This record gives sequence, structure tokens and C-alpha cells, in this order.
Amino acid sequence: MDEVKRNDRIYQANDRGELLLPVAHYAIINSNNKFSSKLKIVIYGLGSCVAPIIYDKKLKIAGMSHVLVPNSRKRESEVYPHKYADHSVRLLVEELLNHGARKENLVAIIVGGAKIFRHQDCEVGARNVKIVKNELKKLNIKLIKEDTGGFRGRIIEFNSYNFSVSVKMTGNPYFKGMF
Amino acid sequence: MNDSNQDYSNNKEIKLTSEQTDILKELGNIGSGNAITALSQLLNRRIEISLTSIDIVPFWKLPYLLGAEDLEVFGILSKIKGKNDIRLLQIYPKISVIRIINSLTEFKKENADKIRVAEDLNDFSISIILEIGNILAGHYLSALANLLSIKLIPDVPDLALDNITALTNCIIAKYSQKLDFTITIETTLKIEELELDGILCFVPSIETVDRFLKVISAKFNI
Repeated sequence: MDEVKRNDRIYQANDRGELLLPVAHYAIINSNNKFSSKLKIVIYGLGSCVAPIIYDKKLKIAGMSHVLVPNSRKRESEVYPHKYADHSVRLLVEELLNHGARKENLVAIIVGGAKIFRHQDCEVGARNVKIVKNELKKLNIKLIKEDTGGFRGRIIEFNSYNFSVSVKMTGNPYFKGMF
Repeated sequence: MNDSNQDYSNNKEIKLTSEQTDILKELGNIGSGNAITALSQLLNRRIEISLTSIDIVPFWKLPYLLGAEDLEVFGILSKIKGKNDIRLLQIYPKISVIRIINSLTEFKKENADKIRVAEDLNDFSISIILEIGNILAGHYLSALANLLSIKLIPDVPDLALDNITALTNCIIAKYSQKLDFTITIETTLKIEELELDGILCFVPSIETVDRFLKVISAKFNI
């Protein structure tokens, strides 16, 4: 078996201290590590994509991914497994546990799943949300908050120092705190 | 892509020969040339267009190809009747769209500061911009259809004002179920007098590209 090189984890923050997450990428913040304690994870333009945020507040470990399509239909993408909702949630939880998070502390917030072009038969968003929720249920992770659906894109910001999530709908001038 | 019965699901990198790239570029040029002529007649202005470029990129890079990730733009998405694997996306900056609308109407001028989502435009303006989108898509596709001797009729287009990444989400979602790559054929247009920049972005599936190339090579003995 030849090893496939994956580089879909975002390590590098930009000069504003933001980890920008493109589609099918993920980021983990381990706040016990002092270098990553002040970072934000940011997604600009979350349309029909869904961003599951899973974290352990007690041990200060959090992860977020940017999911594109609902179902892998048993197809493995070797380079970008995080594009599929079902793989992404499972891998994110595995990774968090590897970083030392406790399964019973994990909670989840999901954001996204909008329908940008309203007259097209573009139901990807709703299906993404459904599959992510299913996977969370399977893994026994509590969903504490969600901001899904609608017809507008979102900008989402996860702050690692107080574990808050802020969401801004396109067209709204301000962020609204979610949790 | 030379193998006729190639399976594209194996996710290997797609490589086009320079001839194939040229054919696709020329398709893009012909399509956009026709579309721009129509727009030029409608607006009665000179329009500059760039040469068409072909890009084969990992699906997540598509938004970065078309502009900065936090840019808010108008997107007009056209689908094709009966063909579910071709999309034509037109992208215009917000201010350009308002300028076009204001240059075409005498009454009900729009104020760019008050427009935050597409629904903030009045019905008349939405109808103008959708009609422009429809005309461009129609001319683009009918030129392609003539050349390829196939039927390509665009559906009623859809309008949204949003972040460029959010707009492209639903297109990449369509194509990247199987593949990690997308092919885009894009042309940029520019109207100096209205300070308008726009992008015509034609996104076919890999199977469609293959079909197009086969038709062309059979028809013109390339």
C-alpha cells in the first residue's frame, strides 16, 4: 500500500490569527498548547456546505471541518475525506480523541446548509445537515446548538479562548453571538 | 483522457493534451464571443473580453480562481434542460450590477448601499439582471450547440447575491461527489465606461468534456 499524502488540516494562521478553512479541510485547536490558544477558526462563505464544530470545553480541545457533500456512497476520497459528511464527523471525533479529549465531554454545534439559489433543485444543504446530525447521533455526541437552513450564506467564526461561535449572515452588518 | 472507456472515478489527476486544451479554449471563446456581442448590442457599449482560460483545479480552489474569498458578488446560475452535468455561472461584482441596472432604467434607480441581499432589489431590477443573464447564457450555449450539433437550451436562470465561496458551493457539490477535480472554462469581460468586470464560468462535468472532444474530433477530423 502506498501512502497517500494528505494535507487537508489547516495549521497556518494568517496575520489576524485566523485559521481559514477551505472546503473539505479541517482544523483542530488544542488550547493546552500555548501556541494555539488564541486562534480563531473562520469560514468565509458557508453556502450549502455544513460546518460541524465539536469540542471538549473542559479539556479545551476543539475541531471544526468544512463538509461539502452529504454521502460518500461508500466511496473513499483518499486526499479529501472531509468533504463527505459521514466521514468527516467520524474522523473529526477520532482526531479529537487522539488529542486527548474525553468522549463524554464532547458536544457539537452545526452551522450551514443554506440554499443559495432558491429555484434550483439544490437540496445538498438540507441533506448535509441531516447526515451530520445522524452521524452525531450514532456517535452519541450531544448537539447543543444549530444554525442551519435559510437562503443566505454565512460567515462563521470559532473563538478558541472562550469557545464561542459567532455567525454572520450575508447582508447582515454584524456578527451575532451564538454560544 | 485518450482512453475512450476511461473510468474517471479513480480520482487520478486529469491531464489534457495541448490540442484538447486548445479545443476547449476555442469552445469557450466562441461561446463567450457570441454572448458578449449580444450584451454589447443590448447595452450599446464596447466590451473587452479576455482570452478564455481552462483550469483543472482541486474542487476547493474554485472560489479562489474567481476572486477573493470574502468578496460579495452577484451570481447568475444557468442550468441546461435535460442535461444535469453542465452549469454556466456568471459572476459580477455588486456595484457593477447596480451600474448596469441604473444605466438601463430611467426610473426606479437602485442605491448600492441599500442592497444587501438579492431580494433588496426591486422586481424590475431583478427582472433586468436575470434577463441579461438569460441572454448571455442563451447565446453562449447556442453557439456551442451549433458547433457541436447538439441541443443545449438554458433553463430559467437563478440569481443570488452572496459570498463567492457560498455561491460556488452548490456547483462543486454537484461535481465532487466522485472526483477531486473540477474543470472550468472561464472568460472575463470588462466594460470600461461602466467599470464593470464579470466572469463567465462554464463548468462541465468530465464526462461532458470527453463527449464534446469526441464530437469535435469526429466532426473536424482532428
